[in-house]
Amino acid sequence: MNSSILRTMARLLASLLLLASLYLLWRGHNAPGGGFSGGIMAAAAFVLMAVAFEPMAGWRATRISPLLLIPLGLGVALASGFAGVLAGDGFMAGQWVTVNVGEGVKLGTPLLFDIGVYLVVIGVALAVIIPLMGEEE
Amino acid sequence: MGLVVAIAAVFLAVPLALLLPARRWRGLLLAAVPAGVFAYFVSLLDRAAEGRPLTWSAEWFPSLGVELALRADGLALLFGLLIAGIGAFILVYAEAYMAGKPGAGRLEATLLAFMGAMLGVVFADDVITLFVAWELTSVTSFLLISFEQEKLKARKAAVQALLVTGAGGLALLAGLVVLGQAAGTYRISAMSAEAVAGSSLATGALVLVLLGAFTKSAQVPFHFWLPGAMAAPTPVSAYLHSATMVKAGVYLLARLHPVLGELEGWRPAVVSVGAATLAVGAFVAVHERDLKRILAFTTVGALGFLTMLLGLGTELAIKAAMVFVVGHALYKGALFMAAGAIDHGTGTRMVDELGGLRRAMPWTFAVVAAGSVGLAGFGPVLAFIGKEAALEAGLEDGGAAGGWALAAIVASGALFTAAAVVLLRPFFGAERAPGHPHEGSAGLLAGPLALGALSIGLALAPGVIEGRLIAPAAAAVAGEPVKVSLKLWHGFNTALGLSALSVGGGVLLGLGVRRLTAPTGRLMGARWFPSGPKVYDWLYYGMQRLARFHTVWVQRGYLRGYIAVVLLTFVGLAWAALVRWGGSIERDWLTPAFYEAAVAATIVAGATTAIVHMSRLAAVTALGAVGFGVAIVYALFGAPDLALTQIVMETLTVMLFVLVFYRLPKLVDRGPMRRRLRDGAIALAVGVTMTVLVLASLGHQQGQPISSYFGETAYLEAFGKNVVNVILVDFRALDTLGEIVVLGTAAFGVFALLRVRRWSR
Repeated sequence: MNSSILRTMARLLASLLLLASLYLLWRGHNAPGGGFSGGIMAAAAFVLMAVAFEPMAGWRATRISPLLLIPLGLGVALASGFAGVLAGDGFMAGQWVTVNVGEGVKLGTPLLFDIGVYLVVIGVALAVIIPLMGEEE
Repeated sequence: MGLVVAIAAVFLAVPLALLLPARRWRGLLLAAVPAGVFAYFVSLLDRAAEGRPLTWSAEWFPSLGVELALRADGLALLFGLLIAGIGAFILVYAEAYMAGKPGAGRLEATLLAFMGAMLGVVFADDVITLFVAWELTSVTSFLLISFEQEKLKARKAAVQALLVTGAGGLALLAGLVVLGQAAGTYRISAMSAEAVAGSSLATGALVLVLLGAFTKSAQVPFHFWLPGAMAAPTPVSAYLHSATMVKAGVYLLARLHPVLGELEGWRPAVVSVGAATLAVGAFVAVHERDLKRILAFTTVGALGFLTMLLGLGTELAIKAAMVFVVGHALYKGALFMAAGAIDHGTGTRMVDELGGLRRAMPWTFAVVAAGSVGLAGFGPVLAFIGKEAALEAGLEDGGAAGGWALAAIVASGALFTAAAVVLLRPFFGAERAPGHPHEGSAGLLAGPLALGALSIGLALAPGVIEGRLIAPAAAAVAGEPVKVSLKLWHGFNTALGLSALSVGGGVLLGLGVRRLTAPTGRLMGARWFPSGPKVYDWLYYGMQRLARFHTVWVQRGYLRGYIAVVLLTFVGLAWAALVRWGGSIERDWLTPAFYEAAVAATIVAGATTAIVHMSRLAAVTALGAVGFGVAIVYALFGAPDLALTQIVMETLTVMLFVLVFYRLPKLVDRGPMRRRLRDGAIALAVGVTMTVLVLASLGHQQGQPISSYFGETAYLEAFGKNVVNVILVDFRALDTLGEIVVLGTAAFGVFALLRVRRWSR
């Protein structure tokens, strides 16, 4: 697509979308959001880049290839499960630590698991959508 | 524990074989591993002979009563010694045979993996442990047969061997489980023949176990895969197809003889299959001209011989079988390796192209001479002792089975002798060979010379093995103590007379083998003759044709068709359930709030637009409106998480549709009216069904909903206020993990398909 308005705005919008997606990911445990919707929103940011510039721009903007994001995310999700094994509670049993910032924030392996989901969803969405756009080359 | 270490050591040598550089000492170094294991097994012999074998076990599936259990009794040690001992020689031989060619390390590594698996089979005391090792031998032997994977013949032979032994393996798994159920234990050493015989499962177990053993040990009618497997490099043939893998079936028969041997079907089934295999193997062997194929068919015969003896199951027959297992492994291993040396030295394995090699290859000649004596079973070799004992067992038996066995031994003895004469022929007459014949290197000769020497040496001094090795092994097979005294010379008796008769006839047959086998050779070569490979091909390609037919018939390739099948199935099942269990529909949905009605109207409008509009892009956008309308419904009814996900998903889906539809041609025609009516009817049926189902389910609460439990515990146990998310990432995280694995896999599939299209242009 050849639109200078879209190009000018795309970077800004994409950055905002990415920020919003990270926010969704972070707050997911206590409010609507989470790795899945966050991941889709992040993928939308990269697809926006692809639409505004050219397909490969969206592909490259992830820095780590979307094809690698999938196994990476699966690895993170799987690894989060082993924390429970190491603690002796069994696979996938959540482990928590409290970080004393302000009122105290609880950080746990479920967040790590959700990060894994987030990465997989970005990779999957881009691996399906971007090749469809780029096929015309 | 020592047993575990011994088997583990062999497996640990696998990476070593891959990492070490290709030097002549690599073979020797690797051979040190099985040699050490061999020495360890020797040290266990006395314990086994005293009746207190070394055992080891660990829990595996305690709830099923399955253990990892090992036991080193006489039978296990006899096979273990053969596997480790011959394996050591094979590794040295393989290094010399490959002579630094690429892939030598891979060959040795796979041989070691196979060796470890085979040790697992013979030392296993738990049927499931045994089965796992058994399958591992099938897989590693597949890799070994297909070692020269660039050759179609090797790949085909490997698949054939895998399919035949794999099918048998499935039967065996079922058989072993049934046997375990019948016996009440999976421990082989704890099974009692009475318990099995008294169970109604006994016959089923027997048939299935025999199928597994017969396929593995190349018994008629499954024998054809073994000659096919000669596509493997010679070290593999020498190891797998003479001494070890094919004997796994014989081993299994011997191992389970105390449990199954008294069953009614055992004797007729095992004796007849064994005798038939012996006859077929020996008969086909004299028709072959390729050294390795001659050896392959005589091996088929020898396996039939062993099976037949175990089928007879008398004390004498068992003793004969144990002696012959060792004797056969020694002479056949030597002969196979010598065949490889001849191939190496002359460039061919066809006997008709060879002559007068005894001057150029004196050592190989010595090996083949010693091996041929073993094959003929007449002379100062261990196999002779075994064969004489078998003849005596046949004579002593007196029954029909014994008579058949006797006839089979005498007839096949003659044929084996003829095959031995054929093997010796390349060494006599005028010198003839495609290349310049030369003697093999020390590495090629060490193994066969040692095995040939042992074959003779053990026959001259059988006292070395009779008490320590043969007696405990025979006792393990018979299920009771057995006294063994082996003698090379028994004086002039009936067995010797029968032997001399069959060998004399065999020599005459061997000298005139060309002319005598011509008519039967033509018969077996005829197009209509149902030989094993032909039947296999017929079944194999027939199955592929059936699959193709089935695919064409069921998988028509029209997305519309698939969707119709799925939807109509759903409608049918849903109505069946509704009619069967009934349901009531409450009426309060008839009075919606005005904003609810507005959303519903939007959805209906979107759907209608999608149907009537002729532009694809407009239709997709209208469908997007439906999706967003649904998202608002979620939001209105208290599912913000779903609404959020629906919105982002809908955005991406619309984009995806636009991208795909952008490339499609313009929609000019909606197809014939009849099809549209049909599709409309299906759509209407689905819509009505879904509506009724949703309304009916509203008034159909069964049991306590789990949502309240999740709601209560989400924050207390998982520190999350968003219950949906807590379920996804904590309570049901394993499900989510499975889902993202599926998603990721599907993405790779889609990506690959899209890329393939691009590249093929």
